[in-house]
Amino acid sequence: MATDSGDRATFETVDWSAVDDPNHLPTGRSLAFLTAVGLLTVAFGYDYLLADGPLAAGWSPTALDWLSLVGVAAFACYVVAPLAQNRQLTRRYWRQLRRDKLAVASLGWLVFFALFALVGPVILGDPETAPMGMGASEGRYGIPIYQPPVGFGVSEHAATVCSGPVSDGKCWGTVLHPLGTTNTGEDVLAFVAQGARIELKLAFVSGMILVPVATVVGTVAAQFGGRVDSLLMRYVDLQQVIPAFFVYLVAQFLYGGSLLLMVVVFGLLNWGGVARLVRSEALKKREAGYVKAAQAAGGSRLAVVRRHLMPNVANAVVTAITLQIPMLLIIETTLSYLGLGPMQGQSWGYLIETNIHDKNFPTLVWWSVAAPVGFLVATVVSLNLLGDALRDVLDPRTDGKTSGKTDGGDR
Amino acid sequence: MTDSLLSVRDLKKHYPITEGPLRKEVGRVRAVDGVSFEVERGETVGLVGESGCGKSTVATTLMGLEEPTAGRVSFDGVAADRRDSVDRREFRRRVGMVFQDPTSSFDPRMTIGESVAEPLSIHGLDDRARRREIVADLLERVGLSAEDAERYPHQFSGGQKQRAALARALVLNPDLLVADEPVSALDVSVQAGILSLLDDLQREFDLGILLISHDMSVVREICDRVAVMYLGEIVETGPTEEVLADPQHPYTRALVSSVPAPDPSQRASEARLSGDVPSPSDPPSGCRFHTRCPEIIQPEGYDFDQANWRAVMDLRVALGDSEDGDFEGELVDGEVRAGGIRDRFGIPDELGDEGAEAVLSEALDSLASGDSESARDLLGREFETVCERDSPELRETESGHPAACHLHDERAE
Amino acid sequence: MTDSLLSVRNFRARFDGETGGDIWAVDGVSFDVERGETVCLVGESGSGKTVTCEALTRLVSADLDGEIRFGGRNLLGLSEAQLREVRGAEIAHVFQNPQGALDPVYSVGEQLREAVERNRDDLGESGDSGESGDSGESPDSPREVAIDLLDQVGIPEAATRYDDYPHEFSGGQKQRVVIALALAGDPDLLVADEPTTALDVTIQAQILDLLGELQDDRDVGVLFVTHDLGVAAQVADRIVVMYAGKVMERGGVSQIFDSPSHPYTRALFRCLPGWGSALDPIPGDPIDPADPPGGCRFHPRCSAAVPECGEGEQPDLYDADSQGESDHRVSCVFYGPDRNPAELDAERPTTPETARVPKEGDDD
Ligand code: SF4
Ligand code: SF4
Repeated sequence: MATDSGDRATFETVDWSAVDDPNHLPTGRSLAFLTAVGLLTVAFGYDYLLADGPLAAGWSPTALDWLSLVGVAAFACYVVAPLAQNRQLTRRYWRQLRRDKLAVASLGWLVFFALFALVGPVILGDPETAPMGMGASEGRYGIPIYQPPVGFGVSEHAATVCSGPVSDGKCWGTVLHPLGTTNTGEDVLAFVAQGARIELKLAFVSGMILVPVATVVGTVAAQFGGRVDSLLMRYVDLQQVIPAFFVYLVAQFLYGGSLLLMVVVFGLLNWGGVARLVRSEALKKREAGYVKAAQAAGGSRLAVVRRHLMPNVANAVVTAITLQIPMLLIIETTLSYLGLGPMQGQSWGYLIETNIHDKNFPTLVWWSVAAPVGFLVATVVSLNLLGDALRDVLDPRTDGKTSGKTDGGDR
Repeated sequence: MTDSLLSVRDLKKHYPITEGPLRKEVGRVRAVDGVSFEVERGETVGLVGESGCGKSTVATTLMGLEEPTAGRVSFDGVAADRRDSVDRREFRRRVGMVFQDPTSSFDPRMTIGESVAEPLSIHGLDDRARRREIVADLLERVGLSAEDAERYPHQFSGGQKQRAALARALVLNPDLLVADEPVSALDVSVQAGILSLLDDLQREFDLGILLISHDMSVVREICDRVAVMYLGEIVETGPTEEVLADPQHPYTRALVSSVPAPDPSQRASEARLSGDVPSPSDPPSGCRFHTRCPEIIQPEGYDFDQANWRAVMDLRVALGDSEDGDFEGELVDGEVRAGGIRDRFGIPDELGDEGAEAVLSEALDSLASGDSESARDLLGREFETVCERDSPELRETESGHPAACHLHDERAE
Repeated sequence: MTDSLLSVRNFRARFDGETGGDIWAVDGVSFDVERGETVCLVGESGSGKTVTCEALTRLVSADLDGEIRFGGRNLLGLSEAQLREVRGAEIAHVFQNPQGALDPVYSVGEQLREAVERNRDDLGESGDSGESGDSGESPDSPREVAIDLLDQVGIPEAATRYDDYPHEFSGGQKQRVVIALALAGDPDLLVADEPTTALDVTIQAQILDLLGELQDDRDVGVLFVTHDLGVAAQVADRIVVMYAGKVMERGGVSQIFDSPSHPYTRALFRCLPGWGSALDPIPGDPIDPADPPGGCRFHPRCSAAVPECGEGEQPDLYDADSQGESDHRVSCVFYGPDRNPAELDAERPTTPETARVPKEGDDD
């Protein structure tokens, strides 16, 4: 064995008495995240305590907006930044993902959805006056109700004011209202965009609550076991028998509805299932040699949780969360359909409800129902499909390399 | 007296069996039940036994990955429960560990280099460049290349991973290496490489090695001393050569002769051990091996043929195990003939000893009449052996190394 | 030899590599198994031994090629339906992991009874009356047959254990049950893939004994796959040493153990720990099945390799004994017409110093 290693550092040359105890400095990522959160807190404090009126250029953020920003910061620091830093890994993920056409399509849809939700309401403006205020130009009585989507036509008499071309006794759809208008003349596209923003916030903020809480509780319960585990899991049991739906209704009755309330109630009461899943996954990983090795080398249990368990349960978390969030979106839509929604007048559920009960449905205004339903279904399905694909992609063993597994049970 | 590098005294690890939401303890699995041994600097000690004998639990307990139920583990003279935080850190640094399954012993999300360097950063070596150098050097010394540090575990073969695992165990420059079945998941040709590597490393760094294995051949190859475990206890211990060449405990004899020899002219013909290892949650009384021991001591006042005596004991073990008439149910199923029972356990129609035959016939008669309890009691009373009554101590035998078996106290008398 | 029980000729198995290439896990393997004899396929992981034996009844999803003659027909040419009749009734498998071979939600009795019943149906359909040996006074109900089988494989109190579930059996007993399952169809050939690898040595010894007894009773052929030369020495009549999908050497058990001739076989012996001679690991790593080396597959790791080893195809299976016709065949250029095996002997000491097993200390 060659021991001639010149003046290279070798493991025997480490003078351990000269090495200090490890200092537990947070990683760069955590620093960045903490800084971002700090800045946001300062801005929030300023907005809340000092500034009256809009914070900047007509924008006065709500508490939920602030939370969303924290969510964005977390997403940037813990998802985007690592991907950007580790190009090689990102490329591998992409290579993997690309094989699954459906997953790529889902990703595409979700990206589109996010952009649409962010930019759409700004460009399109208020549904009542959309697009960009032009819809209102025709005056109070000139609101084009029952306007069909592009490419469709309805009887001229149905649409009191037709803002599109009229021919053959039919009022045709116009690009002014690409998805048509509702029975009260609101632009469906603008309405959907406004609803999409609600859903996006909901998804982001509840994800921001669910993921860390469930991951931490699940991995800690698994790693520490014994009483900690019993305590946490009993609590999860308890929490799971409390119907979040009911709690939300009561809270709404007491404090008035808001999207924030909904996110907080559902976010805080819904992580139990995910935590359980994470725990069972972490229990498996805990038996793995690398966890024991880290412990045998003196790593503290928390350090092991952070360094090994959390990254390795990521697959499970991603899958679980891509099932949880769609559920929340559906619940929100349902609530506002029932007239119990937090953002009653702006949500997809409301759009569906008001139009589905129109006396002319479904001959007319089917588009006002189809559009939000279509968006909802596409988003929910995309999340599910992408979640499935990510589970495989995030598994580091599914690399393109051929594994010599041809000789199955051999040793 | 100079302190051993590692000294384990009367180590016990029991796992409670709990029931119900209140976790009431209803029993205990005595995985390790009073085990003592030492490992000296530069010495390889093998802990050998079959699955379930508690050998791996010994490893995790002495590493402090699990709390022992009782007993003392001292490293370099400092007992585990007396360590302050500095000692603890030092203990962690000076004891390395290698695990059986090379596949699961690396975090799939970290490169091999990161994994091997992990103990360094755990112990506060913050200089990244230095860590990298150390790892590169070490990887080369265990037969990998420095570039391998950048690769991920799934790109390595099992043998290569085990080499990297050795590197990780050595990176803190330990004095003791605990290796839990380090080669049993590997192919023979790869096994040999790892075993020679272990040997070389030991010589180079004067390592003490505790090797945990089920494989007598591996133990024979690299261990200076060996301790044989059965059901949570050490039944025999001594220099490997001596123990394997002249085993003093019937279990060791059985274990050694069960290893298939790579020589067709030596096809084993010895009597096999009957039955399975009993559950450690309810270990047999007296000598734990008595339910299977081919050499079990005969009851006083009778003179059996040894094989017949073993057969009668098998019947007694079966009677003792059967709960609530399981056994009768079985027997009543056909017609209950004493001969049928004799057949089943391989007891001949006539035992050589008349007195014994009389007792056995009587017991079989009560069995046939459905009264297994009195059969059990009668046999238990008449055929009681010292092996089931008293637990044998691990004591010196005339061969020069200790074993725990009553055969040896007889001779001492 | 046309009337062998099983005769495998130039058998090849191809898998799709994940990156698109072909993986020839088995590449031109030939051997025979006679009734009542045990043939051991010995090799390390990646040698193709498992694929070979699972391919007999097409339990692997690979492209198979070559000829597998059994009972007068080529198994590779059979339809899936025809194969189903072969499986269990004519060729039965025992796998390495008894845990996986038993369904945890059914009692072992039910699983056995089902196997017995299935086999009866098959017999009824095909009109095959392959009654053999000891099942002379065949008990009528499938349950009784099942209990009888459990008894034969040495499960004590078989009738009571009939209703127990797999988890209530120890590892060794599970393997016994799996063997009983394999016997339920009264097969002519038993394919045992590392049947004792997952077991403790004392239990392994029991199971090997059991297989030996059953083979004597029933006169079945056994194809036994193992990585353990010790086990092979104990059970085999003939041995086929495989490496990287090729046969390196084959011959009678004493030929292989007393005069191992192929450099790979010899190297394997030198790797055996604990039998006296100093360990001499085989250098290098097992080959990548997706990209096997040309020439002799072993040449990158062979200490005796000469330049021609890396050229062309795997060397033919030459006769180990240059004088006459023997069954002892070696795929190495040194046994070919152009070279002399003695050169190989000069290279290294050849006989594996298999130390005697210490016999039970003669108590004094
Ligand atoms: S004490 Fe008795 S039962 Fe135990 S090993 Fe010795 S002879 Fe056998
Ligand atoms: S053919 Fe060449 S490489 Fe192959 S075994 Fe013989 S000597 Fe070695």
